[in-house]
Amino acid sequence: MKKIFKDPILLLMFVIITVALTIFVIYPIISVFLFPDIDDYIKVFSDFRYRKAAFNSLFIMVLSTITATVFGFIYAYSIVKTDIPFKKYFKVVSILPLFSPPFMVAFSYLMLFGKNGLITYGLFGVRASILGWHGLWLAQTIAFFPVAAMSIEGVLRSISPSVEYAGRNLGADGFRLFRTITLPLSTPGVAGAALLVSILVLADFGNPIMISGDFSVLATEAWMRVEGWGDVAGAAVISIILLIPSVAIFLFQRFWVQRRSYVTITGKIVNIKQKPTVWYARMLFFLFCLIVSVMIMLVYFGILMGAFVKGWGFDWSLTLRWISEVLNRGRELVNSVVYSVTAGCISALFAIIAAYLVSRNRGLITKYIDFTSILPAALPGIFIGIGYSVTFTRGAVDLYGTAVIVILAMIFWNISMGYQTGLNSFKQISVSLSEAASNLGANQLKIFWQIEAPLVKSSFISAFIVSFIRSITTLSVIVFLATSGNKVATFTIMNFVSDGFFGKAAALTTFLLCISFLILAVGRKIAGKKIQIFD
Amino acid sequence: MKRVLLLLLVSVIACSAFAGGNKEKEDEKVLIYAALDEKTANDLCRAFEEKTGIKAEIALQIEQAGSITGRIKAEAESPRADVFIGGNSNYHSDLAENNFLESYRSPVIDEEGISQDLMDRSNYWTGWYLGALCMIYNNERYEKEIAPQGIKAPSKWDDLLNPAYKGEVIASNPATTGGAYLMMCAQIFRMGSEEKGFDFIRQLHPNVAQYTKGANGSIPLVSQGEAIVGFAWGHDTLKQKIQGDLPITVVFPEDTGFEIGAASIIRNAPNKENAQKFIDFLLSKEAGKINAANGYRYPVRGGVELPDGVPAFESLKLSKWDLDAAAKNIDSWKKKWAEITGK
Amino acid sequence: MDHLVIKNLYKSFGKTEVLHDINLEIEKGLFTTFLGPSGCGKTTLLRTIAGFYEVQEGEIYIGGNLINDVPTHLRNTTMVFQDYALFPHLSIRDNICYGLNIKKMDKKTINSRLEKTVSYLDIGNLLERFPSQLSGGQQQRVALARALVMEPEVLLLDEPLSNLDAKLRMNIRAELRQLQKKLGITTIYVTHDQGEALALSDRIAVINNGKILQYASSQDIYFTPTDEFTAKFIGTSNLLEGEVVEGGNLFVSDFGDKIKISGNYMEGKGKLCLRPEMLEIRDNDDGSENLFRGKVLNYIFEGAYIRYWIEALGSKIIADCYDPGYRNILEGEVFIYLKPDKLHILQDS
Repeated sequence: MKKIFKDPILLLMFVIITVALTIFVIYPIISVFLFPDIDDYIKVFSDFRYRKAAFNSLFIMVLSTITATVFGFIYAYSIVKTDIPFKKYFKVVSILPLFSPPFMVAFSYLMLFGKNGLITYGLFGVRASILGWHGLWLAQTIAFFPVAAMSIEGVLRSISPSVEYAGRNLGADGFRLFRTITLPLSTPGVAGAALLVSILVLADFGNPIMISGDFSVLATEAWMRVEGWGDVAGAAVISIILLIPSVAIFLFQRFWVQRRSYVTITGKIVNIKQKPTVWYARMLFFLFCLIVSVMIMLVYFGILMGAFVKGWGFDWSLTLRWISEVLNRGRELVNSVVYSVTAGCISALFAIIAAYLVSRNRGLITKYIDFTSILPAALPGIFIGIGYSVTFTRGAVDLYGTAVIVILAMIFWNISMGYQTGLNSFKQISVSLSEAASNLGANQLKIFWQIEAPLVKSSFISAFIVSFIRSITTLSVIVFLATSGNKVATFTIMNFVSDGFFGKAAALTTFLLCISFLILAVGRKIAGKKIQIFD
Repeated sequence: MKRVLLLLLVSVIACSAFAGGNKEKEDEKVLIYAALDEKTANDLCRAFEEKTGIKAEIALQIEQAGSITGRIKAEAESPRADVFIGGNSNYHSDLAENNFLESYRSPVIDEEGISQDLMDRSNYWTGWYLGALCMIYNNERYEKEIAPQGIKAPSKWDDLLNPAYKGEVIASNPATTGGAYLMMCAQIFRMGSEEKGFDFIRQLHPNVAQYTKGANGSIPLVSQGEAIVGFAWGHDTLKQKIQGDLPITVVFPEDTGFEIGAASIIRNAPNKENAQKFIDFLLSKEAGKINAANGYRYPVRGGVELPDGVPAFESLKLSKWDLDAAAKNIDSWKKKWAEITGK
Repeated sequence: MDHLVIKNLYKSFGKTEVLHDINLEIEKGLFTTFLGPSGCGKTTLLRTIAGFYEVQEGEIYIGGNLINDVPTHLRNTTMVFQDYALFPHLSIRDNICYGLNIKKMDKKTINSRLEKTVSYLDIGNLLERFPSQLSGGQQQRVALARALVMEPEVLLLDEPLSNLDAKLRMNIRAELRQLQKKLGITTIYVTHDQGEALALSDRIAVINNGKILQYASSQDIYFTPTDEFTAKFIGTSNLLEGEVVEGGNLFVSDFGDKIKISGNYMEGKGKLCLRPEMLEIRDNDDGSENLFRGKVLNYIFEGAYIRYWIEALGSKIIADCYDPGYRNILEGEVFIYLKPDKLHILQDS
């Protein structure tokens, strides 16, 4: 640590990062706890409604996590370990939801599978309500299984086929091989994926607000306290109830499951072909992937249809009215793009610098930076939103209704992903490179900027993309911060849906999607090679 | 990398420009917090400027009135705005009770003979429009599923109790929103007693498919055919029906409840006198017309032309209303409601 | 005047002491090697000089200036890393000029220095390539060029040859020695390879367990080690325990063999250090002094010499017989002759 004081620039980087993380991560968390007074706590804790919401949240978390993980596992297994056709297509389709607003699934399914849904009623004449816990369950399963699939895919890929050949060699085959070799080896990774999904499900705001009917969960209850009764303190208490299991699961995942992972001990990736799957198993896997991918494609189909249909459910003629109306009020879209690009850049830069400091130094402050950079991954979006709204909208620093508060919230909510990506790539860069540069006369800033930064360029871009996508698609973070001046597209979409303007909502969502995919494509182009996103 | 830096720089500057804007000093102005739609708020300000020459600035416009009351409470020590317009009187009463408002009684009330029932007793807020509660039903589903049973289209509250509507009524949840609380009060005041009002709610309960979180949650659900009937605020419903061509019919039943759209002056308002002029203006014909044309809301004063498709105010049969009882019983009535519905 | 001076240097990582009371005075222009087994502290010492580790206790001077608190990037002590640490995203030219650019030198000086260095190392044709396109030997030269171009006060080399194959290593060894002499740069070289150390160095500091055991010229280290570790670590040594008697003229081994020695040693306990090539093997007893009977146990033919393991003087002695030609390989009983003036005693202090 003493070395820091000899290098003023390194010292400066430490100071900036530490102070920023303290102000924008730790301070808002503490503020949320301190904001309500005792009465507010008692009021919420004694209200049966919120106990029930807490129970509902946990109930749907368990259900959706199980199905999303199981779906994710089968999907990933089909892609990695079987020889079904159209693997590439399945893979691409399963990635799409990661780049779309999470509430999109619920919104689209509401239009397709509601009582007047295009598919349920239009096609089959069935009037079944999708509103309620079962609709939420379906929407969350489809919305979050890609996260599980992606993470489990990594785990399965790291199990070398040669281990399975060894299993066959010793007399196991088929399901027995799966049960005795593949499954046990992937269990820690799958558990990790499940916990990751459970945090997302717990914090999910967009799907329940659209599809849960009067099945109330904590995330939406917190919002309704403010929206319906103007009670920020009550919302803060509810968000704390939501925070506790989130952080607990997160810490459990990080410190317990990750240590039991077998993935880290793999050596060289051996390129041995998988043994062909038996035909009936192949059929089953193929069918499963097909159904799931159709369910995903339907989401996009629903949104696209919604954007062009005149009156969903009663007038199926096509119109360009919604598109043109949305274009006329492009301000939210511009806000969305400007905020998310800014937040993406700063968040990625910040994350990479933090990762640099942590990977190259030791000591208490470094540990603090590490912890506070990772912590936001455990914070539900609504908690961040409430945190920022109670912290930075009163007293001396009043950012209420400004772009700055929204951008700051996006920056620090998303810092964890970029940080972890950065940390991984810094670990892969030999320390001697920076020592060599220092030895040749470069100070810390030059080492970072001239040597390390170019080498982590691709992780920077992937950090930017992840942060950008999460920013432009988030609803939960911004509901508490949005006003007329700084509202973004997702907020307007939510209001459109709740006012029944499905056409406008769908048209706006379509634009939002186009922009997301466009920026994603540009990012990939700049990165030049394959970059890791959401790993 | 340099380009990234440049981009960052530009965006930081852009941000600070957003943040720092709108801070020029002007003597003759009034700052507005509006819980109204954007167009109504803007039109009102322009008309006020034209009439008085005083600059009216919208400091904040967001349809969620709760967000604005939270804001006013947060900055009580140095208010950033003078007038809070829009949102039903409950939001304003809440602020008045906690001493966040200045009292003001507009001379226009007496000049125009506007009913005292629509004003705060202590003059902390001024009612300037009315919104009546309405029932809506999905045209197609009613024709196909209900009419063949020989049941007439719903026109009275009690029609909703018909078992034909089992699981097909959308109501709203007073626990989650103040608007829904007023809808519940409407039943109590209509029936004349707490007991009878809750009786109605108890009888309605089996027919209810869902208690929506928002007060107007029934509009999209009934339009989509998720349910056949529901109730919502008439002005919001008319606006959405007319602007969105929704396939629903709007009915204002007898003895219907209503909400008072209020305006109030924030305590220690920097431009208090102009704020009072703005309140006076809200009670004028011009303001009433703008509000009715954009928001389909009924002005509290007479002589204002209403847009097409809006029934004349005189045709509505409003129930009695007891503001005090509604304010006093919030906690106990909400609790009672929760006991009955289990929600 | 000594160019690099290290006084009473101590260093520990946590509770483990890695450097213990290091004192060194290195003359300008000399090639000094830190030699020792892995984990002995030689690299730590080198990195402390470079400034990668801070000085916990003690002093380091370069050219008379205390540099304890000078940060790495302001010391002109360039280093060649074991893995070369070439910047993978920069061309060879940019790699070499990196330090000069940081110093904001003018283009002319940079170019002339670059040309000079490049011509010494014969890598002019590689300048536009990238590190990944180079062979190990080429990368090694570039790493050296990148350090030399800075015209450092002290050049630090951290086992730079260890990643090369044996033959290349031999060539570069000779070149490096030649170049260092020509440029006259004070150089410190770290290695665990005693052959490399002997071949390259003007001075060798033998380090074990964080202590400098002996600091002397290559010859002194080889022929007159001061302790058992140095004797065993450098080259091959046969050690016989015993005692110096008769005013230093006679060594009596613990097995009772009497060996005549030069007389430069004090009386007392000690160990006789016999280098294999110092033994002369004879096939008959001609009655000379210091001739001892032995029995060949095993041998290997190494080309330039034959190495014998001979049971003699109460132990197993290694003896190298140079220039064997097509002479018969000796077997069975032989005699070994020890020339008194070549015998060295490690005296117990």
